[in-house]
Amino acid sequence: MNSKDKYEILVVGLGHAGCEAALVASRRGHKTAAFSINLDNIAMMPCNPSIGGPGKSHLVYELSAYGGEMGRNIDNCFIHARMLNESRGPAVYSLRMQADKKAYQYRMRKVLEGQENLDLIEAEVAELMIKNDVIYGIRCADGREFNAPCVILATGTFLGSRIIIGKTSYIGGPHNELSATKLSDSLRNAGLQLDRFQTATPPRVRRESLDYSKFSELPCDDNVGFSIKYKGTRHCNIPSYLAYTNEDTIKIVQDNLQNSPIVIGNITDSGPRYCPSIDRKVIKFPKNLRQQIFIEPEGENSEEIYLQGLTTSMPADIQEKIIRTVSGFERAEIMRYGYAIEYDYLPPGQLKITMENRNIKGLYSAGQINGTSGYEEAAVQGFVAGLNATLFLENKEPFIPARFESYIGVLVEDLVTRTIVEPYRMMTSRAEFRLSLRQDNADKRCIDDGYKYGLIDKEIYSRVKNKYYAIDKELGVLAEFKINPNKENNKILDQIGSVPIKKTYFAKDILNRKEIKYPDLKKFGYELNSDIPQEWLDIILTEIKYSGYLCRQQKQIERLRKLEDYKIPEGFDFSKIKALSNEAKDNLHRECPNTIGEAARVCGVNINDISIILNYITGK
Amino acid sequence: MFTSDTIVSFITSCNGPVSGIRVSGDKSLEVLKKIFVPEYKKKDIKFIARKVYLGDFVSENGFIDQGTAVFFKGPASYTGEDCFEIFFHGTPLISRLIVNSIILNGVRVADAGEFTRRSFLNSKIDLLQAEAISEIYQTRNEKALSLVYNNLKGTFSKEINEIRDTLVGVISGIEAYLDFPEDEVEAGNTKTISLEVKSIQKIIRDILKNRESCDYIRNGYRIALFGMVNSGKSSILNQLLKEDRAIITNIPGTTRDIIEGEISIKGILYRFFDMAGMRLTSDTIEKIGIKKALKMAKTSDLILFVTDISLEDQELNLKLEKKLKKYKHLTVKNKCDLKKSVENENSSTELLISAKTGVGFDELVEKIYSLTVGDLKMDDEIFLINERQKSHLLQTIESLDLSLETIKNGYTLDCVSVDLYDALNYLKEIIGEISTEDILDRVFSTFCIGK
Ligand SMILES: Nc1nc2c(ncn2[C@@H]2O[C@H](COP(=O)(O)OP(=O)(O)OP(=O)(O)O)[C@@H](O)[C@H]2O)c(=O)[nH]1
Ligand SMILES: [Mg+2]
Repeated sequence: MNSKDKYEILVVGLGHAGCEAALVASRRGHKTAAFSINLDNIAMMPCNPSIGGPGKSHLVYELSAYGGEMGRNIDNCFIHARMLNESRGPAVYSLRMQADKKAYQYRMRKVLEGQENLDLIEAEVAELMIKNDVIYGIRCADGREFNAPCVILATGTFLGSRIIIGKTSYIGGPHNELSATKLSDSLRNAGLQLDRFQTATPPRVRRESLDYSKFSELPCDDNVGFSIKYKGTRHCNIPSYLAYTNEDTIKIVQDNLQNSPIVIGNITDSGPRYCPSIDRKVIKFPKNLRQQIFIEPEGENSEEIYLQGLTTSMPADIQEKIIRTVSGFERAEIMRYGYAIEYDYLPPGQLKITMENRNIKGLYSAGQINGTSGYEEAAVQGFVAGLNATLFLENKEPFIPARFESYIGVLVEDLVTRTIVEPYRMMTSRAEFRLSLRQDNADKRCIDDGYKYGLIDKEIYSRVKNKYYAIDKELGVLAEFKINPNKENNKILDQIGSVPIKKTYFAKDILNRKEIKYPDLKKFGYELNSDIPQEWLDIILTEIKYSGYLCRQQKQIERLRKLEDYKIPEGFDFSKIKALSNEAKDNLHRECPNTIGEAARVCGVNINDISIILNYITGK
Repeated sequence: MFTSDTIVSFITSCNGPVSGIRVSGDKSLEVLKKIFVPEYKKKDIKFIARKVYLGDFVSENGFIDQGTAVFFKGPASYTGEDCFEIFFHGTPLISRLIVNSIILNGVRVADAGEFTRRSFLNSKIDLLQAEAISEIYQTRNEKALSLVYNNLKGTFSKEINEIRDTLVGVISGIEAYLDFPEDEVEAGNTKTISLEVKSIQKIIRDILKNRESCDYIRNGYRIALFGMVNSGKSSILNQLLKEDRAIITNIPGTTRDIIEGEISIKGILYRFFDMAGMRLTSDTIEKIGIKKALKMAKTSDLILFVTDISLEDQELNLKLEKKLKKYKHLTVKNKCDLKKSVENENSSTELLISAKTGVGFDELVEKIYSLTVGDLKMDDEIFLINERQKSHLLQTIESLDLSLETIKNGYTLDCVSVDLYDALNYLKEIIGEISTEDILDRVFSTFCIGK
């Protein structure tokens, strides 16, 4: 195609958000063009070589069930996997996979290249073409123009990016890529508000230069996976290790703090608190001498090792000194130095919950440009933006996942309603209803929508449907099968090492006892269902064991739902409520929400504001 | 129903030497300029906030009265909105004319408590303070008033915030533990969590325990005067009140109905109930009468058992006193002026007095106070707690109980947190505030986490 060709959707940037956006758009049959400043860097992981972890894994599971690509992609090219939090509760179980970074990129690129309706174009997008607050295309730095009614910005940390190491700083994108320098001005001219965030990455060392006898190897879990299709088809093949800092490490950091950009002040202070640099950790917790360093290989065809926990953007010679203090790192060779990157983002209060811009019709944004952090957070936004762009083109109802349905719902609602002071990262604590939003039931929660939008094929869909049909059926049988308090039964219980029963129990209640396993039920005359794999049994057990809590949470959700639909009187004048912030007042005034649910999603309106509005409306 | 319009209400009685009206809302200044012309007739005068102006109140039909007006510019006002207060001669006629002329300018009569509600909605005060304000009007003694002001000044809010803070600390520890599994966060220890939860419960229970004191501080004590006819109960009441409340005669059976009187002892309110005396019928005491009087006495906080010490025969009194065994009582031996030599000294449950001369009354008052207030905390540490606050505090304890049970039953911390969050929400409701971000803030400031 040439530049005269009409596209329906243009995706700017091919990181994790851009890839999902481009795929969902083209898979739903819309002519899509996706732009990257360098096509060799599709789906690049410039920071940690892993996908998943608490909150993030939930996002990837959900995305997979909606029909996104990230889960399938990592399932095909991980080198190490761990199921985290297994002892800490079903709500927070989370899978994390170490990626072979290059393999990840190659596979994703292949998927994109093989995708019908999708063109990949290498170009720096320099300008948005907007008329009367409606977008109609983009202009590249080389002058080419592309027209389309929908544009999705997924520029990651490339927007106006600047690299900082010690006192030095220069214009550049992650891994010394080109920075997208022109687009920021165009956004500003379009009336968008921009702000700056920073993030940083640790140095990479040569694999062979470390002494592995000094580290402990991290355990690995097999037979896992994010996607329904590829789960358990691949095995861990490269180990990760754990090392610790010591007194000397901390002392060197301390002695050189004057060289740290956060002390020098040549960088914005708005960085991620959950991902502090070693500089910041030493400043805040100087007594913590023994800090963990995770030694994570970046892939099979690379010698680079990522040092999770040692993020810093101190000058190169000091990075070297710091690293060499660690036991096993005495002869470590740094291949790439750690650095900080500062970039423009669009404070997400400017977004609608569909990821469309509030003021410019057809303009969507997704990923780090919206002030989030993380590949997973980016990917799901790309998906939501891409899907909503297609629904907009098709004149259909938008896709708005609710916060009691999925982590993706939590993420989009938080983004548009909360003030973001640091790059937003998903955590399980952000999901009020996390007991119901588990990674194990993500398929149940999301598959219907995935299928409805044509992103999940029939085979996978019926597989999931059948699974939950079987699970629900078994749960039903377990809830009805009675175990009477007679001699034989109590003898069986005694043999298993369980206390005798004095009243009639249902099988499900007996199963709630730790020492009793599903096969034990046979001894009481229960007909075991041999078609149920262990994984399904685990879900059944979780549902039984946590039913009390799930019930309570369900009630809270119902309450929220009711509030959702609470009507706001027509013509209600929000400006009269002095307790609301001016921002909330202005935005409410502009958006004129009809219900409390809608009001809650208006930018700058927090739960506190909602309670005040309710108070006003109900007069209580 | 929502209210963001301008409202008016009396802030004094509308029938006194001087009456006052307050108007609050955006239109305040506009309305004030219409109904009030300051001296010197400067019509387009700029009202300087918080300055008192003397002038004329007028309506469409002309002059109504002369008085003063003060304008308050929001948010520096009681309600946080623009407000004004006017004062004029408090006759029903003038009051009506002035209110009418205000209402004609598009102002609505305020609902009960609406000024205070607006003050709350405009974040001038929190819910506890708003409630304290309404409490002021129901307060009848000094001690209670000082406690109300404790609430009004935010002492109670501060206490609740401290409890909330501790709970946020517990929850943020759990969240750090759950969300950062690879960081070595030690907050996941369920024993420690249980201990912390229990200590929060104890603090709340103490607050609730003090509620007993506050009930007494707010409502006072009920004291029953009980004894044989003619023993001097009514005389004692009058002596205590220092007025002739009850009729006194030397005819046994003078008092028929229950007569009440209030006094304040060290700021605490005491309500005395003088009742009909017990009477001798044939050799036995009239049983029904005793029953009735005892019933009354039972509901009181203390019984003053009054005996006539001048009588030779004390047998009946001794019999009667036995009936009181079960109840908190103080035996008051009256008419000691008639007895020359008093054999036994005042003991802990007995007191010699004379209603006629006033002998022993200082001790009596002291005794009544110590027998009632006793060990109850009456210092500034205690808070006035109303039913709403009490129920939220109880719900908090209950949710914390559930979380303890969850821990005991071996459930994981993701389940434990469900009820801790509930508890937190109840605490927030007490102050009438909901915020969401403090947990994560605490996670990052307390724990060295993240890679
Ligand atoms: N000398 C002396 N007379 C007293 C004293 N207290 C009361 N009296 C007299 O005792 C008589 C009865 O007093 P009340 O106060 O009416 O006794 P009461 O117990 O209320 O009597 P009832 O109402 O009939 O049960 C009156 O004549 C009083 O003046 C006292 O301390 N000394
Ligand atoms: Mg009497």
